Amino acid sequence: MATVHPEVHGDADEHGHPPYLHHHFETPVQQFESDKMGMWLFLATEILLFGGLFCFYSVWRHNHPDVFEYAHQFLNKKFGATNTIVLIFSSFTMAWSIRAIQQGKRVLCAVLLVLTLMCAATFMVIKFFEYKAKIEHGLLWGPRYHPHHEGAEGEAAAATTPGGAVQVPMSQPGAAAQQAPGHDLAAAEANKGSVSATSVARQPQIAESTQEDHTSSIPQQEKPAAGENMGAPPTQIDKTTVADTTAKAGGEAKAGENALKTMVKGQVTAAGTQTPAQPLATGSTQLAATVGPPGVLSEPVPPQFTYPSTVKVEPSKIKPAAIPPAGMADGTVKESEFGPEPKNVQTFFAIYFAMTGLHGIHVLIGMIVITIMLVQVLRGKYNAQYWTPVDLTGLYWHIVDLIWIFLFPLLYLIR
Amino acid sequence: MATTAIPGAIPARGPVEDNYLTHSSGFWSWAATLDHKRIGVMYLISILLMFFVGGMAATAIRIHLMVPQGLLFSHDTYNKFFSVHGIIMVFLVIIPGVPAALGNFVLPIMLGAKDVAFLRLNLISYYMYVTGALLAIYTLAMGGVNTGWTFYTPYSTSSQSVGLVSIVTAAFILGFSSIFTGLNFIVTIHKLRPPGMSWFRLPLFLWAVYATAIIQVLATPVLGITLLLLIVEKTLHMGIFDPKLGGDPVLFQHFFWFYSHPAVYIMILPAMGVISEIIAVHSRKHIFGYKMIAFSSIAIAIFGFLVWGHHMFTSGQSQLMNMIFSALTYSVSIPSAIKVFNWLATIYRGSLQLNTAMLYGLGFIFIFMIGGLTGLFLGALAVDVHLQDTYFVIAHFHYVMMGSAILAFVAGIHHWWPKITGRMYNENWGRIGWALIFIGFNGTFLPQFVMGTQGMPRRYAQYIPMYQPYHVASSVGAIVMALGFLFTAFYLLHSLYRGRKAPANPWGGATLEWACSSPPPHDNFAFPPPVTDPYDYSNLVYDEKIGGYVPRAPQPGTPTPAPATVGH
Repeated sequence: MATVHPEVHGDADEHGHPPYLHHHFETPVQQFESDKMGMWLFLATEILLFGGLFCFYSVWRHNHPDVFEYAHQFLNKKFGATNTIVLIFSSFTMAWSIRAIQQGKRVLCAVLLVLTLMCAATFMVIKFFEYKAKIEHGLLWGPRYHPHHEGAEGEAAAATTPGGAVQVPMSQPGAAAQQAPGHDLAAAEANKGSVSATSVARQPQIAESTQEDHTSSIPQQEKPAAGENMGAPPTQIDKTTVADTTAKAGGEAKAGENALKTMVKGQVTAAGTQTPAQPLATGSTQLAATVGPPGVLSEPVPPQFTYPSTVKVEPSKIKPAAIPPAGMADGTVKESEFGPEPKNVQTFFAIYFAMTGLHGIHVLIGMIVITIMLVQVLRGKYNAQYWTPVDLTGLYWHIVDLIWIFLFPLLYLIR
Repeated sequence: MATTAIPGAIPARGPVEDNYLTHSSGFWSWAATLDHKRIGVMYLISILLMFFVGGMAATAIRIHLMVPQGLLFSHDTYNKFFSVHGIIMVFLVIIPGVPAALGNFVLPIMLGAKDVAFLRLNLISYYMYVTGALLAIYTLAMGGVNTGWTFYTPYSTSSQSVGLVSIVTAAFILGFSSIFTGLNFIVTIHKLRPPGMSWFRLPLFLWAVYATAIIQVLATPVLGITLLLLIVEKTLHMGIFDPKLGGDPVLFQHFFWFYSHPAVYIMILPAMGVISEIIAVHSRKHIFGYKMIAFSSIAIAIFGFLVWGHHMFTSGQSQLMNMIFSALTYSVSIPSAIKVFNWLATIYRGSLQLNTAMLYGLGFIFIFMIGGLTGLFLGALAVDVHLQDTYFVIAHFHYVMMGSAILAFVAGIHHWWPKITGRMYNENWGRIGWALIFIGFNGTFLPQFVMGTQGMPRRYAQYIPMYQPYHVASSVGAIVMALGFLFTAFYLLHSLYRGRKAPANPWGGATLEWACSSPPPHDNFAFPPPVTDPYDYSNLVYDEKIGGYVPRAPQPGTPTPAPATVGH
């Protein structure tokens, strides 16, 4: 930006100052430099604002690389790449529009700003479809994570998820979070085989979507079990959820533990044999067979559970010095057509939505500011002498673009 | 009134009374003002109101703790009271106190500028402060929060208190208010210096505010994203900090302290800047070690970013991390000590004016030394394990944040009161008020050091009877201090109506704000003022008739070496 502002403009007021010069600045150059420095500082704060999220990303990626490698497969690389190209192109049009206004070409500047706006809108539309797909597939954060991929149950589950996922109460943390198709079956069968008449009565419904309220209460026991594996003490939550589960299943407290034991066994078998996703009926039969007769399951859960050597699981990357809270326990126990599903996949989607969501808000703000610039350019407020606001808008837009250029590989192109 | 011959100062552009207070009138002339001085005054009033609320909460807590079973509250109410006290004092009083109120008023004038760089942004940050304050008061009215000011997860995410989201939103908004103020100050100091105002002619207060602003700009966004994530966690159950959902609560502590430890320096650095001004002016002696004080401000700002882990020695960090953070923590004491030594060297053989502002300044050195040195105990790994979460910690950070930062804020108010209001307060009343506050403060917090070493944990609504003598002493001290503050408020308000009119330069300061009339005119300076050494007092003599200092030489630009006979 080597363009020099003229010291005095034609429309000078009584001080001989150009009309855009605020009274507390001595010269237009001083005002321009101040504005530009202020914007750069603001951009520094923006980077630090996102820096918190990138830091969170790094910590999680380092501690749980398997989660990222698994979960990123659900992101649509084509959409992401298209958006990257669109944003880079919009940065180009933005930069060109600044050049145009510096040369006094207002019409060209306005056209380029419109192009930039259209790119931004394209980005948001693509983002909308991405989010829509995630929501439809239950690929959400925290307790709302309730994935249903392609397969026999896909459509039925997809139809019920939005309502069902939202209704998960917080007193059952991670109830829906730990679900996967094969895993549902294991839990359902375990429960049916060992515990209660209620579940037997429900058996005909298992293949239908109503199984959700039944199964969602069971697999949360898996989390306490995994926590014990990691050496973390069982928390209060664990006890309450176990009790909760038991109450729901209509059995005794001990029966809940039985179900837990059963479930773990079933999962390990499934993972160990690397069973691909199966149609519902087959899967349930097979898993039920591995569970064995109910009588075998009356012993309590061993606190020191280790994976059988047949399980092909990446060992936890957590260093012993940093024992995670119970919920963060790691381990591959589930199966989907995308490979074995590690724990806490929902956290990846929390990061995904937090980072892209905050970025999306910035894109929206950018669109508003660019619109204001467009109106002002059309009104003739900026010209070859005074174009600072357009320039600063461009700076902001570039940082929004730049953040996406980091987000795209970090989220979509893992491996 | 008190027209001085300093070129550049425009004491009157018509009638004598034309100053920033009388320049225009009406509600909107204040509410929509872009004048940094009016914004500073609005900040000052708002902050002092919030200080009153926070102080009342503190006094109530101390009265409650006079008996082992607790005198006033249920346990949950007690939790809410100390949370309210902490949140209001940290986010609404100390952090904006010196920079936003005094800084806004004084900074552009000291610099010789007409205003800060971004006028509207300045007003916006004030209204963000007001919004945050109203949200905090709303939360208070709706039942408050019981999480403490740190909002630690998973307690905050599982806490049943309804106000968490609104109070965290308030802190988020206040954070951005702070960012915009800091951004404004950095740009102002960089770009709006008049000719001749080189970096090493900046008054030390501006160096301190500049260092503070850097921290504000670089650290507060991290708090912003942390609080944003906490809100999202609480409302949408994102699973970022909540271990039930797979999140990491210790990460919250890292994020929180990555901001909140530098925030401690946001609180103390501008306070040190105020003290540097006061000590020099009221000692009638050139500041000792100007560059060392200036650079130590920057050094504190930089070191302040590297020590956040010392809040988490007992949170399960690795031993190596603990050792690194402990060592870095000690390094902060070096620039802090440099400042103290320089202040002491400035006082040495000076002609001390023991007026109210100077008493606060001397009290600051005493209190800050105790606060700083006890910080070393807490920075030591082994000792910290014993002292963690005891009253020793409470006493330490009150010595730094309350006894140092807030009393320096009060010192600054006294120092610049004639400039801000155009009135002189009664010095003797001021000294009495200072004595009450100083004695009350030490009476409150010295016993807490002892209690802490004996194991009294913080945040307890009840305690075993062996601690009662210390608690009673502490509570009595708190009441004395509260009376001192009420008395101070009384005589300051009294001065607005009965105080004699202030001369332009009542204390004999050489920084540019004393070259303006009191109160300053609307535009500060008609044209950039001549810049001289901000700590050279040799050209100022006391004039009995106007009760203030006037330039000695008819042409202050001439370099006549004057004998150092000033001092009254």
